[in-house]
Amino acid sequence: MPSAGVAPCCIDAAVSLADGLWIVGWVLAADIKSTTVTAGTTRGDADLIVRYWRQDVADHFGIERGNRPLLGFVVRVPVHGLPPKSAIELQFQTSESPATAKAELADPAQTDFANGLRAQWPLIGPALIRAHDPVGLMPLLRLMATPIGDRFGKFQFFVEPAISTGNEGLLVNGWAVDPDRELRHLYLSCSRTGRVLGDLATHWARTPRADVSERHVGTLTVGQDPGFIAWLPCSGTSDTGVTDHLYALAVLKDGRIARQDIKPSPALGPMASVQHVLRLFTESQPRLGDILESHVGPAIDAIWRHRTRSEPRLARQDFGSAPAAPDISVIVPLYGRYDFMRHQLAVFADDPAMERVELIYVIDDPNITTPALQLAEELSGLFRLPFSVISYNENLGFAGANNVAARIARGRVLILLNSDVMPVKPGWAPALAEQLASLPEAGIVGTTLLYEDGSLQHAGLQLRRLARWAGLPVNIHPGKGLSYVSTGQSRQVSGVTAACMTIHRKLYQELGGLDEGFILGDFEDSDMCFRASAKGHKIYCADVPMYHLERQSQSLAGDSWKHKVTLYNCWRHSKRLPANAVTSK
Amino acid sequence: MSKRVLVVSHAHPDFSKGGAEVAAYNLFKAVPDIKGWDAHFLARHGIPALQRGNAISISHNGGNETLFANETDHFYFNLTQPERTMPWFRSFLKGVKPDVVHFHHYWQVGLELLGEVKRHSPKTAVVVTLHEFLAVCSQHGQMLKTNGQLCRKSSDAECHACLPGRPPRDYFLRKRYLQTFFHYVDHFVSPSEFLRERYIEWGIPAEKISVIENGLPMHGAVTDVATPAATASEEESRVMRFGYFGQVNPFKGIDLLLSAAALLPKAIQKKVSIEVHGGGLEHQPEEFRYKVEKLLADAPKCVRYYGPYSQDDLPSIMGNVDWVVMPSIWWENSPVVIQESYKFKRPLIVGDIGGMAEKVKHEETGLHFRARNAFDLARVIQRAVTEPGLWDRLHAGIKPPLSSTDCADIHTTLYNQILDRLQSQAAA
Repeated sequence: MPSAGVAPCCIDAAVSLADGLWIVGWVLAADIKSTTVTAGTTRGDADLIVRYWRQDVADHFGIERGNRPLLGFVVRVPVHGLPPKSAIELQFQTSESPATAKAELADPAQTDFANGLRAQWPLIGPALIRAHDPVGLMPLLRLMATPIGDRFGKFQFFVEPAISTGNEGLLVNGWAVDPDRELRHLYLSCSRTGRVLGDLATHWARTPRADVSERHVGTLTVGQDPGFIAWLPCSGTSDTGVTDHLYALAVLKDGRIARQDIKPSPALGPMASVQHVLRLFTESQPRLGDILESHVGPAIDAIWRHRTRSEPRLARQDFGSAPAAPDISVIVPLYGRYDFMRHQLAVFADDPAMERVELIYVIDDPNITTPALQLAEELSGLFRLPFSVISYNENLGFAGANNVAARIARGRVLILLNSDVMPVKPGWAPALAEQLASLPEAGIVGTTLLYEDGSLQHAGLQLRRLARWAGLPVNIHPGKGLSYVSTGQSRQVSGVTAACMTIHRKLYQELGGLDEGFILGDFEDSDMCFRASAKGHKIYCADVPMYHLERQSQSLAGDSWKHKVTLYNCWRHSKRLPANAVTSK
Repeated sequence: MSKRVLVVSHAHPDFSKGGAEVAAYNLFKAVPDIKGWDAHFLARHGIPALQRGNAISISHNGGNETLFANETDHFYFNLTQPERTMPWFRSFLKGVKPDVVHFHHYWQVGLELLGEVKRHSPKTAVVVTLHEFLAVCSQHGQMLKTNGQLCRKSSDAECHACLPGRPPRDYFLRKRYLQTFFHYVDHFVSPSEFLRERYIEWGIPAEKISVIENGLPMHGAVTDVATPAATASEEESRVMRFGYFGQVNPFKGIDLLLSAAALLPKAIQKKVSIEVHGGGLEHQPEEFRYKVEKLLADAPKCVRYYGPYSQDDLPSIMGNVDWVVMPSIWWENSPVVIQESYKFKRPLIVGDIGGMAEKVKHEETGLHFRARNAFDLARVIQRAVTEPGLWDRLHAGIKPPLSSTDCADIHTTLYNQILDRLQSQAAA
């Protein structure tokens, strides 16, 4: 029984959690000025206090509901490290009389404590989350959470293992069925550090999940997409164990809390992570633009930027003795197919001008290194045209392969060339270099590329917005497939393909080479042209025709991950374009 | 010091009797008859039993003949073992020191060898005799489509349609690739104008390719054999003999001839003897074998199947027929059978296409029929039997074929022209 001269006060439960002492009880006082807790020599003032109505206490004291005060209280005091059973004393200063109460700390591991508190939670919970950002209440909320399952009612959710995107955040997907719109927050948190990584419900983009929709038919309204994908930017997500100790906490409007411990993520390398992310959406789905812009795009960007990269260990083999001081270096990356080397070298060997050109093949595919080097050996004996082969035990992508070779190239002029590009006539290399030298302010010179049947494949790039790809600008080849009519004239264009790209080595180096942030290889040529243009250089397409045995293009609609790599690269390219790059032609 | 030609052939006639190797060998044998020239013969073989240790080449017939073991692929004609063949060929050239290397065929020889000669010495002349449409057509170089139709022109798309196993691009690459090697060739020789034109359409510059007929050794020529037909044709009751000579395969049209025989009126059948001289049916595809066997079984009595013959017996066999029939369903180039017919002064009946139509002058040295048409062949046979004076007129129109010696003379003249040009180029 409370003593006279002080307000009646009682502690129902007290427990030490990660963020301090949590004390629940009641006090017959309308307004509390301050709250202090003493435990032995430790003292602390409450940093949170929430009042709520206690009908049981009111009944006991004969207090009418209309006559406040709210009798119940929840306080948190930032006092840490007290073991269970520690004796504590709570002191309230009120505008009337002070109140004190004593209690022993409960053991949070004891279920009877949690159950006792949970019995009151329908009263406490809504008051707490109304008054305070739940992010600050996580240890208590977690304690009060019910594991997600059937007994939670109509609200259901599931969060799949999260992917760490570099050290800059997490990409999460899953589904949530919420027919009555009960959900207030869906937090992603780490049980090891206590960190709240973010609220999925404020970040996510909703995605179709046919499987979930089928299971919840009747509950879900037609058109409600139950799936979600969310990128949560936050630091430290590469720290060991973060993705192994994640849990999701759903906070409903009525204060109920549901918890799901998320399965640890498999350890994925950067490429596998990218593939995983790309499988989480389809090209044809709604909100594609938002998914790219706010979730998939920045997530993959972070994964790719943070991939661990060691300096590749280059092996160089010189076949024949290279020309002493070449003016031109031709760089040809090899990936997958290397048999074109035979055809290219046959044609090059038939071109006297090639004797003065440095020719560098770059094997960007460890799977073909051995047979490609064997073929190089054979072809060297056959054609006697000097060339070098660079190889390394990884796949750097198209940009990386060219950059590696550009660093060792000696020519003043670089010609980047695909292995499936064959000159129509001898003398093509000096002809291109001459165009680069003579055209006004030329920084980059591409050229006319033809299909093997003589129809046009490329005469410069042009950006065009693609409605199906959320209006992102893609590079089209104007005139593609039409008959080629030789003009002998070079034209200024906005970009050219790197299938055959002539550039001053100095400019290439100033620009830092082709951007290796594009995955596998796409758009880096266009990107480089825009970067060169930004520095005042002009881009031309020359009329030195070359055949380009362009691979059969993947079908335009497709959900293969490679297809979506292109979509990602397209998005990344769009972020780097100058404002006026896309004309409305 | 005499000049030396190295004749390179895809086979040696000691082991196979194809037209190309026989022509190459005849040239090799005849060149030393020309003053100031000698010759070596290098023939590829694919016969494991001829191998000695791991030596690539072996000496053959004791003289200037060498055999080398070699294979190429059938599409690009690349050496299958360049790392073995190339160093050997270099040292072989160093030993033989030819002024001219004259390739007959590149198939089974290796396209790489064409280029290697110029690297060995830019002053060495490279001559290639084209025996089939191999570069133009990857369907055995016959320009005969897989659906049986005659092919008139190669294109990436049409070649792919004919042989869909490869994409059109491969035909583009193949043509480009072959042409880069053909740049190392100083001059091409085609035994027929028809084949020359196909190669010009395909991309060899017209001035780089000449027609020189294959030479034929003239021993056992017409003067040596009896010509019973010439005398016996005066007797009306006599049976007229038509001979088919050569391999029995689907391209030579034996089935067409058998069908034509069955289409002849009974009265004509009684007046003719249609003789098939040739073997190899047992090696043919089953479908064709079955067809020919059935045609033979159902054939009228005038058809006689003699089977294979030896080249030595040719004077007596060919000398004893009145007409030589060549019913080939493909273009042909310069079939040796036509030259042999001329050697024995036998008028020919041939299809009106390609090399056959070129080599046999209609109404002068023989008769044409609508190629691949058995009815028309029957009509022409009937005419040959019934038209008085026809045989004598055509027989009289036949001139002796080009002899090996004359052929060698034309070749060495060509070699000299090329060598002079290379000399002046080197000087300039």
